[in-house]
Amino acid sequence: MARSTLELQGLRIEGRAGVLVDDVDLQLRRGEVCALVGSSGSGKSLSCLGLLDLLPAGLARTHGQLLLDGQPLPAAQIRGRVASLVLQNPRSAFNPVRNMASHAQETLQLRGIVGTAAGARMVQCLEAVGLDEHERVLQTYAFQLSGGMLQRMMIALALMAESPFLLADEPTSDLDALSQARFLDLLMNLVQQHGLGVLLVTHDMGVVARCADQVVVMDAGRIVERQAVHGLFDRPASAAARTLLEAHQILTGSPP
Amino acid sequence: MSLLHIDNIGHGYRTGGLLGRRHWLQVLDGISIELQAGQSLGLLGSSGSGKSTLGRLLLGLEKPTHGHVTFAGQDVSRLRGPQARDFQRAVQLVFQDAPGAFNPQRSIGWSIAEPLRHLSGLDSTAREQRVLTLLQQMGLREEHAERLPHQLSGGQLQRANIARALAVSPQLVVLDEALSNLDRVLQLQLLQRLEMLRRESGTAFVLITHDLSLVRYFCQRVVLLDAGRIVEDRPVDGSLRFAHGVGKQLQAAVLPQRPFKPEAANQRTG
Repeated sequence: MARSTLELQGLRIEGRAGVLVDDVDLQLRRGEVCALVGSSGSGKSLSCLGLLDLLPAGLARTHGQLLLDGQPLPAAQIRGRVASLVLQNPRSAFNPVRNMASHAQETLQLRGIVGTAAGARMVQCLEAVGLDEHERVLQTYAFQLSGGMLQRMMIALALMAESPFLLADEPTSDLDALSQARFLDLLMNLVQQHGLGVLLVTHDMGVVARCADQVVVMDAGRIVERQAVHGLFDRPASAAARTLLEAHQILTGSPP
Repeated sequence: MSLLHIDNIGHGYRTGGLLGRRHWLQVLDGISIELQAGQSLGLLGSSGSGKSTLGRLLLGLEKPTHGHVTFAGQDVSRLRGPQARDFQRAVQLVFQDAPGAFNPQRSIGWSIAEPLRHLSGLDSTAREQRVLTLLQQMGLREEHAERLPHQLSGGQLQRANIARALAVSPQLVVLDEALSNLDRVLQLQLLQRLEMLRRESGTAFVLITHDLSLVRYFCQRVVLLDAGRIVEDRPVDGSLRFAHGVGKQLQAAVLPQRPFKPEAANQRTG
C-alpha cells in the first residue's frame, strides 16, 4: 500500500474565548480504526474538523500539521482525496435540490470518471454499502431517504472518492439500534476488505468495543490517554476514560 | 384500578394527497396495555413500528380509530373543561428534539415555569422557587434559569426539557426517545434521577426507545412493538430474552460490553 499512515501533529485550535484544543497528535493507519472519545465539549469533534481545516467561523487552527507517510501536506490536498468526512447529521450534508446521482457524478468527475464508467462505479459503491435498490436510490433526494440510508450514501460517496482514510464524527448517534449495527458492520467490512483507515469520533464505549484498535481519550481540549483498546477496557488510566467506561458498563448490564 | 388502561386500540392514517391514490395505513392494531402507578414501562421497537403514535394516543393528542385509552378511569378522548386540565397536569410528554421544544427568545426559567402558569395555582415567587428546585433535581444550576436555549448544550437543554415536564408533578411521564441523543454518562445520570423520583413520588414512566440497554436499566416491564402490534409483553429481569424475531434483532444489535477482536491484532502501539 503506497499511502499507509496519516498523521496529525500538534493541533491547536483557538477561538475568541482562548485555546479550545491544544497539542493534539493523532496517527491513522490503513486497515485500522482509531477511536477518539470524550464527553460532550471535550473537543473531539473540533479536532476532527480542525484536521481538515473545516472549522466553523470564529475558530482558527493556529498550530499543527498533517503528514502523509511522513511528508507534510496542506489540509486542502488531504480533504476529499486522502481523507473523506462523515458527519453526525447526514441530512444537512446533502444539497436538498439535487438527487443522489448528481452528488455521485460530482464526486466521480473530480476523479476524472464520467459516462458509463461513472454509472458502473456508482452501482458498485452503492452495492458495497448495502443500498441494493441503486436505481431508485440514485433518483431520490435527501428528504426521501431515511437517516440510515443517507449515512450509507455518505459512505458510498467516500468510496467513490477512493480516499484511503475516513473521518467519522459520531456517525451513528442519530441512527436507531438496528441501523447502527448495520452501519458498523459495513464500516468494519471496509476496514478489513479495503484497508480503509478510520478515525471514529464517539462517546459510546460500545462503539469503541465493537470497532476500535487504538483509543485516544480527550478531556477539556487535550489528549489525556492513548491506549490499545484492550488496555483501555482493562486498565483505564484517566478519569475521563473511567467515567465513560463506568456508564457504559452499568448500562450494558454488568457493573465493574 | 390501574393508572392507565389501553383497551384494544387501533389507529391509522389516510395517506396520499390531492392527486395521489388514497389508501389507509394501519399504524396500530389490537393494542392493550395496563400501567400501574409508580411503574416504568418500556415501549421498544424499531423505526416505523408505531411506538411514537402509541405515545401520542396515550396523551390524548389523537383519538384512536377504535378502542379506548382510559386514565384513572376516564376515557381521555372525552375529557372537557376542568377534567381535561387535570389530565394535562397528570400526564406529560418529552420528545427527543429539545432545541425545538423551547421558545428561542425566552429564558430557560420562563419556559420551565410555563406549565406552572397554566396548570397550577402558584404565585410568581412560588413558581421561581419551584423552577430552582427542578433545575437542581435535574443536575442543573440556578444560573441556567437566566440563560437562553442556545446558550445551553444539547444535554443541558434536554435536562431542562425533562424538568419542565416534571414541573406540575405529573403522575405519568412519557419519554419519547428523550434520551436517545445524549451520551451514555448523561443517560445514566438522568435515569438515576428519574428512578429516584419514581420511588419517592410514585410517578409512572413510559420510555419509548429503540435502545434495549436503557429499557433493561430503567424499566420493570417491556412491550415490544412490530408493525403496529404487540409481539411481546414481558417483565424485565436479569434473564430478559425475547422470543420474537424483532426482539432478537434488537438484542443482537446491542453493542458489545468489551472489545472482542483478538488482542494480538492490537499489539502494534502508536
